[in-house]
Parts: sequence; structure tokens; C-alpha cells
Amino acid sequence: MIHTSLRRATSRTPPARALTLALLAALAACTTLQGPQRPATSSRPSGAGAPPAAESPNAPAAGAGNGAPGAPESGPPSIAVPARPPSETSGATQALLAQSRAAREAGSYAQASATIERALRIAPSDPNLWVELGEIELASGDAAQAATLARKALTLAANDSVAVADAQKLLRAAGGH
Amino acid sequence: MSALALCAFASLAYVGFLSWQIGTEFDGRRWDLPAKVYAAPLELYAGRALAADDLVSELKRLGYREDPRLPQPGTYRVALQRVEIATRGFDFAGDTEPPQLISLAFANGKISTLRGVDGADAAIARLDPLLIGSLFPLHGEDRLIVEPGETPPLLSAALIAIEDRRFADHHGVDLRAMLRAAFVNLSAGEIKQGASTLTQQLVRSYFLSNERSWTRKLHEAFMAVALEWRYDKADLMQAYINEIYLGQDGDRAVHGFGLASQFYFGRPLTELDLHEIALLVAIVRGPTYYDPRRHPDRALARRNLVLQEMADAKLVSAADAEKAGKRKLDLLSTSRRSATQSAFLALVRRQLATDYATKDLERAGLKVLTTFDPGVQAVAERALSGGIAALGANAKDLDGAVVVTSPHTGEVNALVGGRSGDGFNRALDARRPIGSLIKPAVYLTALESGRYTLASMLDDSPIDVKLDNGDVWSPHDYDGEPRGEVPLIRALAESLNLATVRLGLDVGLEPIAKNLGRLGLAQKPKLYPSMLLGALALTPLEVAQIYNTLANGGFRVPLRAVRSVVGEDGKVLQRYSMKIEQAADPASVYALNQALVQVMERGTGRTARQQLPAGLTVAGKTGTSDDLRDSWFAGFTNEHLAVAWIGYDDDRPTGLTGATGAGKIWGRVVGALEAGSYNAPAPDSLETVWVDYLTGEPSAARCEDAVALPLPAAGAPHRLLEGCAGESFGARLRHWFRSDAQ
Repeated sequence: MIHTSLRRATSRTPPARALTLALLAALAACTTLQGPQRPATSSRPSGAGAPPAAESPNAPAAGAGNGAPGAPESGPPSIAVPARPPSETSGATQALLAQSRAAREAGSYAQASATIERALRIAPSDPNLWVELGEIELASGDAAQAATLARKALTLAANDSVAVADAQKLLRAAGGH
Repeated sequence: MSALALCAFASLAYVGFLSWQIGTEFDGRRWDLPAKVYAAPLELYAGRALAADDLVSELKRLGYREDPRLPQPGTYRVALQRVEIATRGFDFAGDTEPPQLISLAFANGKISTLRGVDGADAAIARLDPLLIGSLFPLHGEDRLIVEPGETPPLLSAALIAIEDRRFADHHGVDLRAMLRAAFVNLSAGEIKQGASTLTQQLVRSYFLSNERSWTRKLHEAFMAVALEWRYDKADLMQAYINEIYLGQDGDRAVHGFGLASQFYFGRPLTELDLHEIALLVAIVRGPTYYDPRRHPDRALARRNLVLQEMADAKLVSAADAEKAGKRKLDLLSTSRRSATQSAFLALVRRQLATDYATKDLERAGLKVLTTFDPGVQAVAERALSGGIAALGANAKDLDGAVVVTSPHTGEVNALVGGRSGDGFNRALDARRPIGSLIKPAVYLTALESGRYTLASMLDDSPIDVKLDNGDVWSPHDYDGEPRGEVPLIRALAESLNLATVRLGLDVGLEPIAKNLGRLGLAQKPKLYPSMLLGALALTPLEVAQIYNTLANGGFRVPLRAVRSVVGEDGKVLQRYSMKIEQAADPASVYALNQALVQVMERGTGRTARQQLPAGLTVAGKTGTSDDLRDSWFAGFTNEHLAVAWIGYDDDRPTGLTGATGAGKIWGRVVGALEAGSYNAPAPDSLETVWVDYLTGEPSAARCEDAVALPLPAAGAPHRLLEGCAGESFGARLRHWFRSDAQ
């Protein structure tokens, strides 16, 4: 809830006032102006006025990181996350990488890419992270973006033969070569 | 008798009518909630370049208080090279950071360890993002809604004690208080009795104008009764807390205690101490008269009266009230409320304008999560004002702009629109000739053509260009001395005009203009030869877009100020993820950037380079417009691109070149940021060849003017020399033998 909209108080309406309201209702009827909700006719308790809200917004977080996401029924095909030797990035980027993969496996591509972008802000020259982002883009259907990200990774990979191979594999998968 | 009954009946009927009328309006209407704009949350992890002092200033910006007991979120303590923080945590549409206790150690200007409360190493933690502003309408109201759970009970109790003692019992108006107030006001002296109940004040603020007349007073009283009829006390109190006017921030009217708490203390309402709550309650009576920034003595005196009343009403103990009365106002200093942040907010508005209607931004309660980095912004602001001040007394009206981005992601970290927050956003709106800043586009086009390398020889000699209208254009070098035959890298590093014009005419204006477009220039430049020397007016932000693509190795990422927008229901409305396109051949951009490194090492960027630590590799370019009206500098490290411009708003000559003006500001920015060298790996298609910088002849690496140039490996075999250019044959021979003997 962001707004504190005023809820009506039904319990505080004494009989004398209800009477006046009845009179007003008559008056209002004359002018065909109908008050949309009038306290006297409302029987709903004020506190429970809100209908059961849709689930709280932060329910399906990807932060679980335990690799046990709820299997999406008939959802996106499961993604084989390539096993990659630990890169030289710090513990922070590794932790984010793990979080991102958990989100990707759960089919939350937006969450996965947002998390990888966090890692990229920390280590923008790490080609593995760019490949990772490219794989997410490919999985979510943007092959052109994936190919560009693979090319970007290649410009950073230099002597990292594993990263070069991964980037080239991504480039092929994205139809870039 | 019957007249009296009729009158009573009419009043009752009127109140009933008003109640119905208010209900339709009050139930249906919500407050217009301007979008709240947040900075990027500060990421904390081992290995991050961040000194303890910088972390502490960030914590202060966020309104964290130093308290050795760490009693609640929003506090920290500093001890023995460690900073320990009780973080506030946040939750933006499922992006959750829990409140937690963390402990950080520092070494060599970096975070060396990050530990959680259990003492185990933690990988990463975030501070809550700084609220940097609201997208409120011009001369509009702004507020930050607080829920009942976020309202300290003491606040409501104090409001009742000070403003409306019989709030719990009256039916909207308090006749006894009115009479008493009339009496007290006559006999003046102590705390002035307010005649209005909280409900009346709410009615006045929400429905009515501020006109003072008996009819309005009467109307107000009737409406207050009507409001009480429909709503219970708790709801009215919460509405009051969110509605009431509490101060003025330039164009922005500060409404409600949630925003007032941020405005005066920079902290959430839940974290306020007794003396701070008392001050806010004191301000209610007259936000202008008791403005604590303008009239601190007045505000302090009234705050202490409020504290005393609170003690009298047994809300707090007399001892606590006395203790609180001895505390300072503890206001957020105005310097920390950066007026210049409005420049960044303008960019946020601009980016959002493509997807959102203005009325939604100003009313719909959106949360905008941005790329803004308060630390980088502070650096950029200091660099501009300090840099211009250092230029001396004749720089009085000189102004400028700075843009800082992260080149790999295209995120705009800081934007300074001028020295003061005078409303003119030079970073976005000052469109000025860019001078030699255009040259990299000319040289990139040449390198991409395959006909030129960094070692190609160019002719820096006078040239007359016949224009379409029959005129003849005769450009000059800056110092008027043609250099003759020079290698391409030197022509760019020293920003030689004649060589550039000849090169540009050879590769063609059209391809250069096309390349500018690929690099990110939205407008199409006019294809005059003078374009080659930068007769093209751009804003600092447009320049930043072009240079960001160079810094990003030829990959264009549209510059972004917004990461995502969260709706009032707490769900993500829009995510602005990174979109990347290849704009240029990466090998050519790599070669070009090596030339931009030489600009800093040997060319026009040397003075800017001198401000930076030795061993830091940076790439950059100066720009100066005709008659020294505009001074530009654009350059980058691995993590940051910064563009600086300085000039006069009325276009007077500044007497400054790009190097002597903007270059110094740029140097201050990059010097203050924890920057890693520009260190893109060389592409396989290029091989490193040592060449004499002055003559372009092959040279040995040991020679004074030898530069390592990345040249196409597929080209003609490069001659390797053991000697230095200009050395005698005997000297070369001696070197040859010496190296051979090793």
C-alpha cells in the first residue's frame, strides 16, 4: 500500500445522523444525484474493506540461490547452464553469477539479466559476464543482442581461451557466424 | 423557538450534504504523488575501491547516524579501521536487500573484507538507495506518503497535545478551544493557542484556499464536522500527517511528515529522535515563520516549548524532554541537499518522457530507480566549481558542465549542469561548437577505410579549400606552424588542423558524418569542410554519447539514466536494460584509442594528464572552438568516461583552450575517482610495432620518442630497426652490438 486513502467509519454513525442522511438521500433522489456509497447503506466493516490482494509483490524472488526454484509448468525449456571454471572475478561477481543462474533456471530472465548487470558494473571487463548476459538474451529470444554481446566478449577475452571458446559458441548459437 | 429548530435542522442538513459531497471527493481522490527518484544503491564487497572516509560520507548522505550501540537500522559505528553498519534494507519490486548488520575492513583505499553479523564473510551487500528528488509539477506539492506503521506514535500524540488536545472527543470543531484561544490570544504571551482542530486544519489544507474570512471559517467548521461524520479518528490523523504543509524547497511545497523528515533531517520518519519529532511538530504552526534553516533561534525556542508541553501531557518524562531540549536542531546541512541534482533529474524526466505522460510522472506515485552515483556527482560538482575557481578572478561568470558515464554499460553516473543550480542545464541544453573533439570521428573513418594506419604519413601543410559558394576556406593550425609530413598518430595527438582537413577531405565528409551517426550522434551534421574542425554544435551529453561508444570499444549503448520504474502497486512497470550495438570495427577503435592515449602522453592532453597519478593510462581529446569561446575535454579510463565543457553563457571568448580549461576540470574528476587504467586488450588482427612518434620511422623500443603502435598484421611487413630515428649510424651500431652482447 502506498496510499493511505481514508476509509469510512461506519461504527461512529449515531441514529440521529442516519436520520439526516435519510433526508439527504431523499433530497439527492430529487436531483437524481446518487451518492455512490453512503454510510447508512454500507454494511461492510471498514477495516476489511480491501478485497484480498493479489499475492505480495516480492514473493517469487530469485534470491534463493539454492537452485531449487519451483518448476514452471510447461514453462520455458530448461536451460543447460554451461559449467565454467571460476573466473578471476571477485567473490561478489561469483555470488551474483550464481544468483543470476538460479533466476535463469527459474525462467526469470529479467531478474537474471538485472543481476548480471549488477555484476558487470563491478567487473565490466570480465568477458565471462558478457557471455552470460548474451546467453540470457538468447534464451529470452533476442539472438541479435546475444550475437553482439558475444562479439563484445570477444574483444575482452584476449588470452582467456575458455572465454574465447564460450563467446564463439554463443556467437554460433546466436547465428552470428 | 421554531426558528431555532429550523436553524438547527438546516445546519444538520447542510452538514449531511457536505458529508456526502466530501465523501465523493475524498474517497475518490488521492493525493497527486510525484514520482520519487532514487540513486543507485551503493554496492559493498571485498575488493571495491572505497575508502572508509568515503563510505562514511555516503552513510551521512543517507542520513545514517553514528551510534556505537547500533540500536536500529540507519546507524553505524567506526572503530579500529572498521566501519560497522546496521543497514536499512529495501525492497523494490522483488529486488530485495534485507536490513542487516555488516562489518567492513579497509586497506589501501579498498574494502578488504565484508562480514555479516555472524562474523562469516559475506559476498556482497547494498545500502538503501538515496532519495534524490521527485518529479513534481512546477510550483507543485510534493509528499512522501507514510503508512500508520511508519508513523511514530509519539508524533500523533504530540500533534494532539500541541494542536488539538480534545481531538479524541470533539466532532470536528472544538468550541471550548475556540473560546479559550480567543482569550489566550488576547492576553498573549505563552504558546499561542490554536483555535482550529486538526480536522479543521486538514479541511483547510485539503479543500480550501488560505483566504481568511468568516464565511470561510464557517464553511471550514461545517466541513470538519462533516468529515468527522464519515471517517474515524485514526484515518483523519493519518491523512493529516500526510497532508499538512511543512516547508518550502524552492519551487517545491513540502507536504506531510514523511517528506518533511527527509527534507529537514535526510532520514525516514521512523528513525527520528524526540527532539526531531518535536521540531516537526513545532513547524506545523508556521512553516515560514518557524523555518528552522532561516530562523533557527525561533524554531529552537518553539521546539523546546513543544517538548515542555509533551512532558506536561506526560507523553515523555520531564528528564527526557529536558535532555532533548539541549540538543541542536540537527538539520541536514543545505550543502548535502545538492541543488545541482536537479540537472540529473532533468535527464531522468527526459528519458521517461518517451514512455510516460507528464501527468503520470507527477501524480501516479511511481518509483524511479536510476543510475545516479552520489559520490561521483559530488566529485564532478567539486571539480567544476573548484576548477573554474582555480582559473582566477577573470573567470567570474565562467560556467560549465560535466557528464560522467560508465562506458561499458552506458549508465550516466553524474551530471552537472552548471556551478550553481541556476536552472540552466548546460549538460543537456548548452549546444556549443565542439572543435577538435570531432577529430576522432575523422581518424576512425580513415582507419576503417583500410587505407590508413596509425603510422601512415599525413601532410600538415597549408591548404585552400574551395567551397560550394565560391569562397575559399584556408584553415590554420592552432599555433600557425604547419608541421609538414607527420605520422597519423602525431597529427591526432597534437590535434593538427591542416593534416586533419586533408585527411578528412580524402576519406570524404559523407562517410565521416555517417560514422558520427553510428557512434551515437542523433542529428545529421551539415557537410561543410569546416565540419572537419568541429564547426558542429553539440551538448555535453551528446558528446558523451559519441565518446562512450569509443570508450566501449566501438559498441554503442544508448546512455541511460533510469534502470527501472516501479508502479505504485510495487510491481516493475518498465526495466530499461542495456541495449548494445556494434557501431564500428573493434580493431579500428582499438587503434584509435591508442592514439587517444598518446594525446594524453605526448599531445594536447599532457597538462590534463599531469594531474593524474603516474602509471594510470587514460585516453582523451581536447576541443577548442573559434576564438577560444568553448573549452572542451572528453576522455576515459576503464571504468569512467567524463566530458567537461566550460564557456560563457553569452558566448564571449574565454581565453582558454580545451587543455587549459576543461582539461583541468576533467583531470580533477578522473583524479578523484578511483579509476583503473584504460587497458583494452589488443585484437589479434593487429600487431605491435615500434615507431618514432615524430617522424613515423621504425624505431627501437628503447628510443626516447618510440611509441608502440598497433598496426594491421596483414599489411606490408614492418621494418624492424635496432636504432632510433635521427641517430647516427655509429650509435645504432653500438646499440646493436650492446643488445647483441646480452
